[in-house]
Amino acid sequence: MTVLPLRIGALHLPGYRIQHSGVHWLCEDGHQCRAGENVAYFNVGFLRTSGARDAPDPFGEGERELQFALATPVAGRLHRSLHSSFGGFFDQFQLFVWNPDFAIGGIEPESGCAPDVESCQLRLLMASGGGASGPARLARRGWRVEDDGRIGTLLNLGICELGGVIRGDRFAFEDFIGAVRGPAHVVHVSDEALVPNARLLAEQIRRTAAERAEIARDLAASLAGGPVTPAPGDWIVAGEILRALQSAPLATHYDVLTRTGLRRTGPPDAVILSLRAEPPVLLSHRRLGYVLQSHSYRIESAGPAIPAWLRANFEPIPRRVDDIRRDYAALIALIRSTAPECRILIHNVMSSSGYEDIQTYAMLDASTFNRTASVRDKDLNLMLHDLAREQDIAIIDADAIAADLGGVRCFTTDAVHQSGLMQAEMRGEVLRILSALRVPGFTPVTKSQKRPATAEASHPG
Amino acid sequence: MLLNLPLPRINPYMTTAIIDKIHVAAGTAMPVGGRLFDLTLDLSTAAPHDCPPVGHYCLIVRDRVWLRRLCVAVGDEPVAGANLALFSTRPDEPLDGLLSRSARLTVIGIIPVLSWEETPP
Repeated sequence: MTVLPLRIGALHLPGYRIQHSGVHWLCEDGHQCRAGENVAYFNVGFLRTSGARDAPDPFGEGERELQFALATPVAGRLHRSLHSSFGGFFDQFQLFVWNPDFAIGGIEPESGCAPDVESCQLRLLMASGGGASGPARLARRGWRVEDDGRIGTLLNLGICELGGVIRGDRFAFEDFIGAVRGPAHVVHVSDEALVPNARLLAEQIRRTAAERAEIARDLAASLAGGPVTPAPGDWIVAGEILRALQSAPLATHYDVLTRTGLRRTGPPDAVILSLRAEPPVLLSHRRLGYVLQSHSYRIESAGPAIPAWLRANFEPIPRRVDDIRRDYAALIALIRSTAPECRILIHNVMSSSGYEDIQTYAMLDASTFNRTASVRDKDLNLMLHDLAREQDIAIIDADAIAADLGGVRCFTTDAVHQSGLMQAEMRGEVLRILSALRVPGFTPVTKSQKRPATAEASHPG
Repeated sequence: MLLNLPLPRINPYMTTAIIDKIHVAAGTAMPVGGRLFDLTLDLSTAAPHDCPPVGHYCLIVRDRVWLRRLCVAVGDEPVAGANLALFSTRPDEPLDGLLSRSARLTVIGIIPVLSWEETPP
């Protein structure tokens, strides 16, 4: 029986000492694992060893929680090291200095698989996240640290319907990144604070530093000086809204850690948007003119001051389907003015609710017809096809996929939150589109590439 | 002919619905396709999670009837199956007769208003 050590391997970040926590195992000792399967993870931190102590961290303020998922390079039986995990804060804090020879355990390769010790190094997938609210603490981006070559960045600006598709069931992007050849870097922007509609995203890009400062001043003064005393929840939601208003994910560059140091990526090579994020009514600030859209459940759960602030300072702007089409066209032009090769994918809407039973639309008066959600949804989907012809965008046809899979049975209780099967189908569709559009880093892995260190792959002769 | 209107089970997870709007008053003649109630189905107790499943629907009558009596008011939260209204097929039909059947309905999903916007300051 040959057991090869599963070492973490070399990792360099000049100017920093890298440390990690004890190992959190994701499978039992003796588990028969696949090649590339994430079997464990640990937390990681970076301590500055040169330069000013107050110099910025290599990862930003919103990325305090950094983890490596550890994947076996070959298939085989796993042997967990007794010295890998110590429980408690030993497995929370980054107490252990990075040692390339540290082995979390070993692997007994499957018969016919003869990797050498060097090729048995763990594959590291890095996920970063962190934020004030619970959902915002989940990983916001992920990538494999060992990939060389041009890094392709996919930016997911979709709402929750795309969260599971892109981040996967364990919220670490492992299903998505595991399916592509790489180097691929996936960024997920949470819709917790702002719902990313086309007009709001364009305003984020165009907003000047002076405008950002004025929005911050106005929000602080309005909340603190308003007629309703803010509750703690109001301040938290206000902070998240302000942070989102002052960011511009479409124009952002990202630092990505590789085995040999930091590399910079962005702006994104591909962007995913949700048509469901385009509401029939937007809020526009009466004095400053910017638009704002948050999920109603977030506003309702904030406290009394945020709804009062919105009522007093914003006016509703109705948006017809043609308005949304114009907003999309303006956003696409803006994106391509600085990133002409950027690919844009838009997730359409599930246009049949499954819970209505309209025998004939002829009996509905104009007012009722215009308020019918499924009619608007079908109009939106049709508009998207017009947009695709005009603007060279790709449609992620969730409407058709859901219909093929059984309509409402693809969802939990509504037409947004999908089943695992629907998510897997959607993930496959997104990957197929990215590959067809030749987005760098997102070429699908082939069967042989999924087993990189087998005898056939490592020693083709 | 007297007709009633039990709250339909629009979604298998629903137990109640909130009456948001009543479009007609008692005594009104309703055409086929007339709007009767706007409802909110809040399934957040059945499926508690962030981004809670809240749906908005309108009940449309498919009989030509007179609305004779409303059994609910705006803000009420009747259970599925509870009677919402009483109709007759003639305007002056006595209401103490036997029910013939339930009114025929169409359920449509509607675009919601911003719920917090209607909350009084």
